[in-house]
Amino acid sequence: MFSDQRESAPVRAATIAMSISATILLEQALLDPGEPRLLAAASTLGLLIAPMIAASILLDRRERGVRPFQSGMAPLRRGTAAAALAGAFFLPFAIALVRKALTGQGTMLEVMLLGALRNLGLGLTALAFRSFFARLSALVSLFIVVVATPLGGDVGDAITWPSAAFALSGIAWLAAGHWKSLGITPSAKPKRFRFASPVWLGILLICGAIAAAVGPDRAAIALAELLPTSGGTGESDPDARSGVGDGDHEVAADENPQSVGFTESEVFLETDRPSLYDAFNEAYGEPFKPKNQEKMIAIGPQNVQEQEERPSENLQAGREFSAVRKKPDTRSRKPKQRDAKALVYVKGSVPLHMPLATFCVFDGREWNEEPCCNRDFPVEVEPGGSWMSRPRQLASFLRESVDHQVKIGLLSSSAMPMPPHVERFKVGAVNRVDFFDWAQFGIVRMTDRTVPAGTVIQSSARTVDPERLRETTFPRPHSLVGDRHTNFQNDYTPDPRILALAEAWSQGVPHGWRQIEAIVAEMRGRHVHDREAVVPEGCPDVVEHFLLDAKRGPDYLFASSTAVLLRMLGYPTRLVSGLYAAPEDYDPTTRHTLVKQDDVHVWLEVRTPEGLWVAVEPTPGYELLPPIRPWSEQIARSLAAGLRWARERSIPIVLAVLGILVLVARSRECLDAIATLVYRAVSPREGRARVLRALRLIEARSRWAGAARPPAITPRRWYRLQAEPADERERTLLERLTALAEWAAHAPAETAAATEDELRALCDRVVAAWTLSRFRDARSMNRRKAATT
Amino acid sequence: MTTMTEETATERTRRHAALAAIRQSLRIALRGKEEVIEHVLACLLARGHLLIEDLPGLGKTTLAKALARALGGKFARVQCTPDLLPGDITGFRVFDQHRREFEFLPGPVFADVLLADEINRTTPRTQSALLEAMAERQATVDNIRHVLSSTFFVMATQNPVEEHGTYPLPAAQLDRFAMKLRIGYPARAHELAMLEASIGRGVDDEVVSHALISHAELEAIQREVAQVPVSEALRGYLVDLAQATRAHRQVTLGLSPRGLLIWQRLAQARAYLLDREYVVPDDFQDVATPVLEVRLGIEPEAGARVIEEILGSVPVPVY
Repeated sequence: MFSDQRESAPVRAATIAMSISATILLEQALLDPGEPRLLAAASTLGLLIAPMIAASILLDRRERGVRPFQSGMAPLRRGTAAAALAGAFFLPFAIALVRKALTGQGTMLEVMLLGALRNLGLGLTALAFRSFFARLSALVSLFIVVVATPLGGDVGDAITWPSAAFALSGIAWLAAGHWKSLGITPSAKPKRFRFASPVWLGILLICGAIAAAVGPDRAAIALAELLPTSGGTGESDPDARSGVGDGDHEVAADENPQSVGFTESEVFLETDRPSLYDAFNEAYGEPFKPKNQEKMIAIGPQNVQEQEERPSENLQAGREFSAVRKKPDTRSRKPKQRDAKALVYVKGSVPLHMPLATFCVFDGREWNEEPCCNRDFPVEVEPGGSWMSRPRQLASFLRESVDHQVKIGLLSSSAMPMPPHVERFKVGAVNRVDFFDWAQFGIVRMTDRTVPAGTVIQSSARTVDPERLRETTFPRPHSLVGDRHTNFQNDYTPDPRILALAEAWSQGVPHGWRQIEAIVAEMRGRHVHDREAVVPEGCPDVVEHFLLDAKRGPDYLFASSTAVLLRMLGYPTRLVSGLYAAPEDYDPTTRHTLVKQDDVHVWLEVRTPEGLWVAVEPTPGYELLPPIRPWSEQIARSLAAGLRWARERSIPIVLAVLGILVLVARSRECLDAIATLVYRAVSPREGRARVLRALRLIEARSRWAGAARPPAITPRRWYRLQAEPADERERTLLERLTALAEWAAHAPAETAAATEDELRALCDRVVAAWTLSRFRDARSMNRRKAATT
Repeated sequence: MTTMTEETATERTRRHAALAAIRQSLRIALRGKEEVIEHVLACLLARGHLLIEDLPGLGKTTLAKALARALGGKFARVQCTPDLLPGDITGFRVFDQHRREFEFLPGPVFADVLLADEINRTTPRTQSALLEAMAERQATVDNIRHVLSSTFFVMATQNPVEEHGTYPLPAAQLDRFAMKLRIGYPARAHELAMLEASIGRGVDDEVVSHALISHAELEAIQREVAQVPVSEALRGYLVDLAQATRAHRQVTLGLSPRGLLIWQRLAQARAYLLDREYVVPDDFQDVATPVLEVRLGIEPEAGARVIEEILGSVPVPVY
């Protein structure tokens, strides 16, 4: 598989230069706009290139130290090299998987692939003292440069200089390779060439400058179409960074130029320029199932104008392309309406509660909607875009942010469905604060209008950590007298048994979040969620009926009862109605979670001492979004959990670790013991086969002792060298075995060497004499002897 | 059957004793060069021809004469010069005035052992006269075919230093030699022994004055050598080695099938000399360098390294 020829120094140097250029170019090409390029180049040099050069020097020295007959790579080292290269190749994929698992952020396929190739190239370069690896390294470097250059786009010098360096290195590589094939060393080249080379270099630079000046600006960009997530394939990838496949916001095509698809706002757009989607439909006709077709359009804002007629809309998430289509019909160019299937489509982590209205005053039967908090809407437009941001809420229980996209479908509401504790949000290109207002505290609405269908709302919201909430000190009941979130309507007084129930459920639990959790746990454990259950029409107190009699009911009874129980214990609560995005409604095709009519949900919120409302979910079957913690904390928690697990199983683990350590430290002795047992147990009785089996065992021992026989050397020669320091008897035994092995392998069947008994006895004597430790002794003596001579 | 086997064993013992005597006589003639002597004997038993390339005075002629005397056959020597004609080697016809007919006067190729000294000093035309004799053991003069001795053995020498006025042997000629040897300078101890032995010895005093083996016995040994078995795995090993010579990028001319055949025969001879009834991988490796050096197209200074690389690139069949 691998050529054992040693590569010449000039070719190797050129290979390393090519690899360095390609690596720097790739890292610069993958850099996001705005990131410091010099810093990135320095880190590339320090973290990637310096280790490669160090590995190259070390491996080369090790290689040079090998004795002449071992000049070929031994089988084990070939395997090690192959394993190391494979590991380097697959490392970016593994990192991407871990990253995805920990943060939910994916990595673009090209980035992973190029990272894998970069690692492979660096690994091959470290082994470039062999011709085979040097050539492979040059090939990989070339591929990286060809692919990375168009990826980098027009970042300028950061790509140009490494490209130029790569080109020069490549020329040097070719020249050095040619010299090598001719048997010419660089020092033997004609002297005039030294003068000629700067001239040629100058001509090349001039040609390059002319090409850059008059050539097509972005011809190389066309290569990007060859890559899977950069467009042209119809695939949509959330991790894509440019091109047609740029996520679901990038609306692609449309059948009729007069028709539009929603982009990120309610602004209707039109264009007279045909799109890719137009071309498809005109060429192939419409799909048979209108509901399966997608209508999207890719246009720039400079090419749009207002349209009088209301356009057809695509209110679903994602795109489709049907291969089963009608004949082309150029008469009807108007696309079909594509109605939404759900109230909203959610993209992002689920389960997710999206509050739309809150209620505070309760009279035993009715909840009254909470009035709007005030006109103070502390939201600002972020510079350079249409993101709106709120001041950061300071509360210890609010953790890392999570991003969501909600596309409005059938829902008609002025309140915008967003997760609680939103810090930033964006509604298409709307960049004016006066478009928005508070519905209730924590719920944003569009001022004086409903959110149009098809609107995509992007948000970034803080998550709530219940563990930190447990550490929060909640005020005692007396300090909240007069609060409408802790009191009831004047003519409503809950049954004393409800208070007794609340106290019984929270008995022994300290005041605070743990008490709330205890109440919620009892609610979820003792009551049955039943959508069909109803309260009797004349019932004056639904809470009393639910808690004391029915003990089953829909979610609003769970929420109402829990709110009443918590208020009786002194916690400010409010009822919340909104939408619930359930994980089971996730559609892997569109990668959205559908929130349908039956996902309308009621829950409650508890006000914390910081004045923030935190969702509490008392209904069984509904869950809250888990908190997103920083990496460091996640790692610490994983370690802590691992330590706990280990502590609980300390004795078996210690025994297992000790066993493994012994096995690792004495792995060769263990292997030798097993091999010897196998030899003694199942060794063939036939003389030749037994001799060869004995030789196999001897060869294995020699290999485990660090003196593996090179494949091209005969056992007779190799073991004669190994047995030199041994005494006469041992030497003779080993020589006799190798001679018999030659007889067993190569002599005609009629040629006898000894009787079966003699052969068996000799094999057993050799196996007994030349143990693993004997081989080790002989090897160390040989090395000492070699060192002294 | 038993009698036959015993007779065969006795014959074999006797022949090995004769070979041992020849080996001993060569050791006396060429001190401290055991490996060279073994190669010369292997070449003789394999019915090959030998090219010795070394400096003057290192014992090339001595070795050839000692071998010729030990074999008991006719020894002939040709000092190759630029004016040497093909007829000087093969022989020629002259008109006998008395008998009124042409008479063939055989040349030196009709000896049992022919020493062609400084073969690269004669012209290619004369060199090629040896081609037929070496390859087919016959000489054709005036369209008349003359059969040579069945044990015809050519030892040619050439001087690697003085290249001026020489005619390097063409590849076709080189391929007809079984191996190329270098004798090299003897060690100090052997030179001392040589000096001591030469004291009091006359110019014509020969170490061995009689034949140590008969012509028929040598023929019989050569037949036996050809019958030494070579396992299938070893034949595969040999072919792999040949392919490795052809694939090596520093070898411009790889091993020919004729070279392959002679390599196998030399390994058989090597096994026979070691009194082994079968060939082992070491037999191939032992003769690899002289066999490959004579016929591979390699830069002279890279020869040993390239051959080592070739041998190191093919795993030996062990099991």
